[in-house]
Amino acid sequence: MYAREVDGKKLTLVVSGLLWNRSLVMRDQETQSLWSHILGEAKQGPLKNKRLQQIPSVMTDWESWQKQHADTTVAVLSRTSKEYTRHFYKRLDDFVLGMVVEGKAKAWPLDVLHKTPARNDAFFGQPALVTFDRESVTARLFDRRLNERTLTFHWKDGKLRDDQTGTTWNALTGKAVAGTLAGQHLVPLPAIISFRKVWQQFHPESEIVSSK
Amino acid sequence: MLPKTLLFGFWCCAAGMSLAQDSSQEFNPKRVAPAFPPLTDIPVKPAQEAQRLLNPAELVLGVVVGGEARAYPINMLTGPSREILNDTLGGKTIAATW
Repeated sequence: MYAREVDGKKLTLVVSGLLWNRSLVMRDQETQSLWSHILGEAKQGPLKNKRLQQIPSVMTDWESWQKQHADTTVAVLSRTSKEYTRHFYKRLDDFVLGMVVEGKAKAWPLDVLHKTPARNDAFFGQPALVTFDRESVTARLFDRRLNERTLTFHWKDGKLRDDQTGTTWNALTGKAVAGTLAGQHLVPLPAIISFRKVWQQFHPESEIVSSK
Repeated sequence: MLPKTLLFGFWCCAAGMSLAQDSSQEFNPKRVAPAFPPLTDIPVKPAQEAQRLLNPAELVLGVVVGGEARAYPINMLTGPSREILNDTLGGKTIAATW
């Protein structure tokens, strides 16, 4: 998920029909620059070396999304497949939640997250919280710094709380629901779900978190 | 039918993957299909209307921008012609890519 605006200019992105290293190349209609979808970076044309801003998104099921966001809208097109449901994740250890920023990559296998559904972790020095909802198979990554304080989290009695204030948090949205920080939000980070094998193939340098 | 490599590429994107590439690597893309027309003016429905079209267990890509939430059902984004949706949400122009 990207913002499609560069230096104040809105871009219309199309599937170019080109592949680079087996991955999608996008073209913008305004300047005809070619963009690597993977890197979010223009590789050719007037906007060469410009980057698109990544927007955090979450892969989850409709039931869970709707529950968390009652006022959501839905982009509705005709169906092109039907196999993508939460049952798609047959083996959790085949998938990772991963993030890449400027060539630095880190990934958390979903089976690891299933065991520890709130991890006080870091992304290359940036304190991060990784959450996992077993029911909807949803993994998320948040910055766990808030108002210049770094929070640590734990699950207790089915609730996600921070150790510093005891505030209760929604693990799917990063919103504080009860306690002194109620109403505040953790900032989501643009992590994505992918196949572990493919992640490792294309990010050989990636740190992969293990359950130990 | 699309060549397998294309499908693989699309699948990688489909999984929301960030396939690492050395960005200094030579940019030598290969044409495997004609360009697809842009997808703009994406039809959007409120949750209550979309509800009857969706299975509770189906996967969606969810995003919140400027306080507005939108779901993109994955089963409506598969296939090369659907890979990039030029959309607007919360006052921001976004590309939902899959």
